[in-house]
Amino acid sequence: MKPDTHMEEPDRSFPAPSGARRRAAERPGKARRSVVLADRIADRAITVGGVFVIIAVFGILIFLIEEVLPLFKGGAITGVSEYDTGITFESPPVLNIDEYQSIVVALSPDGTLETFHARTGRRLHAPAFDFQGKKPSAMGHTFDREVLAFGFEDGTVRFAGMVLKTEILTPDRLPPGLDVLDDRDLTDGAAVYSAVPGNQFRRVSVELGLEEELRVSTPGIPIVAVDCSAGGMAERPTRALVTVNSAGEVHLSVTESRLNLLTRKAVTKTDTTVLPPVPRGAEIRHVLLPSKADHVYLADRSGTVYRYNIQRFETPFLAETRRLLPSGVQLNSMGFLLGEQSLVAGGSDGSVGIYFRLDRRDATTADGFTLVRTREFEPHEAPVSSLEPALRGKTFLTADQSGRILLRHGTSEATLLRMNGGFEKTRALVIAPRLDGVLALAGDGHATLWNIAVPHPETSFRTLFGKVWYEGYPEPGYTWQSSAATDEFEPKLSLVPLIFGTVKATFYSLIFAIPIALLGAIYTSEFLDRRIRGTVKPVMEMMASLPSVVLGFVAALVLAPVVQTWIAAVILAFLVLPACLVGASYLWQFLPERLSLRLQHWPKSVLILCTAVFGLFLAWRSGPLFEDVFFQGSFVLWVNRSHGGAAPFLFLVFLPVSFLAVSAAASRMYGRRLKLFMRGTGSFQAAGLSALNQLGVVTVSILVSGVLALLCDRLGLDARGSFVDTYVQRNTLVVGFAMGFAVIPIIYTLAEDALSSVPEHLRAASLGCGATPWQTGLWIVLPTALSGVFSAIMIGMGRAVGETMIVVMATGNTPIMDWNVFNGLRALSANIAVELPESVKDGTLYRVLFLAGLVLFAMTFCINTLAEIIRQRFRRRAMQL
Amino acid sequence: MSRKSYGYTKAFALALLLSMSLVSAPQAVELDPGLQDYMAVSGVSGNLKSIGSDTLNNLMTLWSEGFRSHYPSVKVEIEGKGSSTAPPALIEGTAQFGPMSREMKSKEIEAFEQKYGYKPSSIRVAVDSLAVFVHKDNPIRCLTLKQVDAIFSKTRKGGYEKEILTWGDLGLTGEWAAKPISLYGRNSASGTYGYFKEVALYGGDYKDTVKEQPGSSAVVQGIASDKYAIGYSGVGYKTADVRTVPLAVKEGACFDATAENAYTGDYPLARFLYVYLNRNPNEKIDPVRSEFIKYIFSRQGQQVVIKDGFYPVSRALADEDLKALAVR
Repeated sequence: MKPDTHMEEPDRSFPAPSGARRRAAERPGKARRSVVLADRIADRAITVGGVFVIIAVFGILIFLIEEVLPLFKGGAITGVSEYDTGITFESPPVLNIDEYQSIVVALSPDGTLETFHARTGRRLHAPAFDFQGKKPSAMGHTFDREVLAFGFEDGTVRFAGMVLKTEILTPDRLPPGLDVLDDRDLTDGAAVYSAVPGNQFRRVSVELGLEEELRVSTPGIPIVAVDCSAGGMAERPTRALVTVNSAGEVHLSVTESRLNLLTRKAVTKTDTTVLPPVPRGAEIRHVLLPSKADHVYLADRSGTVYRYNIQRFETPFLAETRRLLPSGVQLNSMGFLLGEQSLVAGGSDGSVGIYFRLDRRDATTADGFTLVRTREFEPHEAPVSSLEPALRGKTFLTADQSGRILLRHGTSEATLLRMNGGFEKTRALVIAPRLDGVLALAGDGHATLWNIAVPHPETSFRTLFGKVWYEGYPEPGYTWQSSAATDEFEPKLSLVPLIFGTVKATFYSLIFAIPIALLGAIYTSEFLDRRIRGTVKPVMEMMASLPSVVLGFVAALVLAPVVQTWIAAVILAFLVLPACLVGASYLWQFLPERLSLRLQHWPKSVLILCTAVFGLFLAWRSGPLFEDVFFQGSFVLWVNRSHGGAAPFLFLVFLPVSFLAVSAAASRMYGRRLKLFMRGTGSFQAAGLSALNQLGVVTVSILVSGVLALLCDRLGLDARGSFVDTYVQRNTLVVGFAMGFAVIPIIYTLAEDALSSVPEHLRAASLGCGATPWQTGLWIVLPTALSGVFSAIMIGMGRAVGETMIVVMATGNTPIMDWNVFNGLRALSANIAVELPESVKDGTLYRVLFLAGLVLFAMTFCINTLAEIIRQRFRRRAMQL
Repeated sequence: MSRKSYGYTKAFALALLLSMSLVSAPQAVELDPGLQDYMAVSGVSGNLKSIGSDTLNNLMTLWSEGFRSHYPSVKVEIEGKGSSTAPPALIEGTAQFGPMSREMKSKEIEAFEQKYGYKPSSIRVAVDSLAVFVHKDNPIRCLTLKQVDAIFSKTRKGGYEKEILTWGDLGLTGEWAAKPISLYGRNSASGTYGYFKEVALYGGDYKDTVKEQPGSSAVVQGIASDKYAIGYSGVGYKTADVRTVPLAVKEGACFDATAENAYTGDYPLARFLYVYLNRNPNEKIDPVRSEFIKYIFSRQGQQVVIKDGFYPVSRALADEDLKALAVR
């Protein structure tokens, strides 16, 4: 029930079992055999139990570390196969590989197709596009390479589909006479069959489709570059196409299909718009069209990029023209990473960098946005020859002309793997869709397939704990945004906001809980009648047994709206309530001694309670008036900086501080003389005198804090923007209240135990020397019990750090990083509770959540160790008394 | 004692009546007359467990109740914490059905496939409009998607000029003008979170100040108790304390979250709701599950969809999905 009773009686309880045994051994016959036996059994059982506890804790620690370690490992090459495909190309083909690494498709820009088995390189029979005799002059593809666009000499464009289709077959549906390719795969010459679990076979084949001719561009003028993209949700798919012809004209066409969800009829709408032409002489080499079709990027041979803004479809404009690389350096490769936001550029000097389109108000571009080079990668030693993004995450490949291939991650800037084809002129690259393979094809038909394992490319120490500049963000920062419904989304896994949230919740709930709990404990142990204490303490302990989910629920749905409505009254209550209690105690002194002694016990406690209720009532009634006077009618607006100066709030903050300072100064200056003088007067006069003195102190401290507040306001200091700022309904103040309910009883009851167990003779000696109960409590009892009180606080703190349900329910779980008490937070523990059900086992998020657990473990471990060290020091000091 | 209990029952009945009238208050949605009545068959027994979407939680419960009225011996258990909880449950085999308010991601499909060799199957069970809710006293008339993006997103990929922080930024005047907008949303496990992010935020990121609520009804509750709030959630969770804001893709063409606008696609946040299941494509599906699916696509099953505030699917679509599963 009381976890730390042994702390108060260290001399007796700690070495108890062995000591007892020794005594039993020294005086044979004194203890009965059964007692000695029971003693021994208990000794063993406790020892074994203790050892098991330590093993269990270490086991948990080791388990956590084991789960977390893979996050920090890069990638590994698990296998290499090299073969000669016998396919030669003049210009680099577009490669595609299916997710099982069965078939590789190589598509030349002229529309011819070759397929081969990915594991052995054996040529397979490939289907072909039928362009009715025409020859494509340009080709583009979507990010996943499933939709292609061909441009022709006569200005027409055709969409085409190239899908690697997968089917699951039962063995009886397998075609007869299959050739064995390797230990896994069979083939009928065109498709690849592989055995999968459950006595089934998987058939992977290439399927082509060709659509009707489109007339997007001016007829008769050859198309030199084309790109296409596919986007939208399943209910409203969109497809876009951009063409550049030899006259420099740029056309964009966007097709939106809207599926009637009831009738299944699709309404297709195609809009075409003409973009401003590219400058004369610019030879367009790269065309990039993101799936949202809100921008078009063109790049010419010299490395100049033209960015068109098409956010207003009817009025597109050329927003930016700039060189991405320094003059003299050619732009060899350019492409998007997954999500089609980050632009990767590889130069002829071997440099690789990522550009974001960012809002820079001082930019000289037409739309205020500009391309900013945000990431720099380990450069290649030779000119970059090709670049290939993965279909998963921000991983991408770059190859240089010396044959070196690097697998990198766009966010962590890390180089995950290094590969060397051992041959020159890698013509084409592809990453397997599941990020488990890399295929490189050389111009002479030589190919290498690397089997790779990069389970967690996106995490490194830097992305988890450092500032990261994410796509589209104006600057680097700490961000937690872990998951979303689409594959394009990049998880942002910085633990810093979560650690901050835990610290913030603990801090605010402790500055609320510690004074109340400690003062309550001192009062109960030193001043309160034993009988009342016998009632109060169990009631407080009952409070601790309230389930935290109930506290959180009440805090979120009842307390939060009430606090929001009465925020001014709540703030006022922090001042009015203590003032009322102090005022009432001065009034109490006017009572004749006989009466006050008779009312000492229950009546006094009831009166204190009444005073507290009266204080709350007063705060509630004067709340609106207070709000009018101090915050011009609305605290929420004031705190949002809509109106009002800084002085009123600063005044309120300074008031308690200046009160303490002024009263200390007063007692220093004339306290002794006042006391001597009061000794000569009657009790009634003395009471009047001390009340008057207090009134004077209050007046002076109001003046002092007023002056200080005005001074600070002049100096430009403002509380807003630091620990008070925009008011949000679910905020840390509410958490503080709710957590107070959970933490106060623990600190209170443990501290009270510690204080009560201070030997009575110390108290008696102090009182006998003429010290008042307050002096005895503060200067004798508290220091003696300090080690116990301190561990009470630490146990309360441990509870606050690990508390989950209150934080989940009562805060908005917003991963923000500011000290604003009127804003929410997202704590480590709450985050684990919220996100664990959605994480795939052994996935990145799953492991990061374990890391969050490990961090929490480390935090509590540090706190407890520190607490224990400090406690030991206090105890040693207390022992010397 | 008896009087007391009588009074209690009466009050309870009244409350029930009230809540029912609230639920059925939204516009009358027509059922496709082609949908057939459900016919019970013999030999159906066993247990069913469903883990997944919170949006579909009520609907699954209503379906299971209706289903159990035909087969009292079948036990159905339903758990709804978010769409992302469905794939792990299907993979581990802890659930037979995984209701989801979004399609599975490729990683989830891959994890499933690694264990079973085939991909999971899905059926489209209802149409949902994701609604943007405000407090019932809020005078805002219409929002464009770009404005919604600027309210909820810190990346503003929609291209709105500036960040929207107060109601005044949206053109409200008087007491509303200076009030900061309080944001409510779903937790990241939810398909609603992901869908809203993809469509309304143009794939951008949420502001850190969006208060993540563990369920759709918690979002609505939060907005009901916070006058200056805005939030998103399934339209089925609408209560009398909140109202939906009509949305526009292009300025000036506002569409409210009605069934008609959802079907035609004029309302930009209409989507299908899915139920995923583990089905070997070369084997026949077991009778409990196939009957449950048939029940979902029956007249009764789709009637329940309307009752819960979502929109039913058509006969054509139902047949398409049933055929794909080789049921019947």
